[in-house]
Amino acid sequence: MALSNKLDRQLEDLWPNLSSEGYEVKSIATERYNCIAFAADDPSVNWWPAANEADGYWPISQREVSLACFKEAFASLRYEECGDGLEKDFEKIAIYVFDGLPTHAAKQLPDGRWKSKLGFEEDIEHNSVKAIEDEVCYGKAVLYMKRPISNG
Amino acid sequence: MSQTAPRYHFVDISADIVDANKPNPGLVSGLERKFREYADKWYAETRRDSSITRILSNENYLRVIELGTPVIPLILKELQSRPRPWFLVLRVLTKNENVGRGYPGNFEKMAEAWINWGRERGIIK
Repeated sequence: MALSNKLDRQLEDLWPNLSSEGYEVKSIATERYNCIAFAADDPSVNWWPAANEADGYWPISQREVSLACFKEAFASLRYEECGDGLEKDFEKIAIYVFDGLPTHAAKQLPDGRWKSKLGFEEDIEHNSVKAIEDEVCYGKAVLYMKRPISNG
Repeated sequence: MSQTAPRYHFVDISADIVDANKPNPGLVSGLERKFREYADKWYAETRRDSSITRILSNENYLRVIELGTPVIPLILKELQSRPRPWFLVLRVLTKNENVGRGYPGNFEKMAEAWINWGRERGIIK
């Protein structure tokens, strides 16, 4: 993977909106952490409410692949529901849903762009939430949550 | 909407674990070919997924379970090169729920625990 030009054609094949919306590759591919952990600022393990606790770290006792459970998990990190868009002194996450189930989380950067860990692939910075929306895997961003940056 | 864990149905496995240090070219090559095919398809089909539920319920991943206990050495060798989440397959095939349990979501530590488990039993070097 060529990090030098900050683009990856394979990623663009998987997420068709990437090239038109704009993005940069920011890491090498790794299985060490997934998107939920990355959005929660914990790039050390994979976060997921897996049925077997060994298969994923989860910050709350409720383990269910549902939007309500993901909202509760980020609430435990002092996030609360909000609208989209950049808000001064707040950091935001966006949760994506496909076919009614949570699939992905992205975190907003201070300049209003977003960062995501893409499956087993790389971390990227993308100019919009739409950049990684699709009709087969991540679906659409449906829930935004924020917390004061000072609480981070 | 919630997603429940898949239920697995597989035949009773009576074969012993293949000794990776004992040559058995016919058996190993056929098994390796099947394992490689399923593993590569699993990687390709789940590489963009963040959902561990989806990753662990992929059809090709579940087909590795059908290969039975002889595939265990191949999975352990695979973990030595990349810490992908083979842990559900290993738990089912070995009936051991405890290996790596202290490291939820930490694939590197869990892989290390399973590799050590295999070494202690002479399954891999």
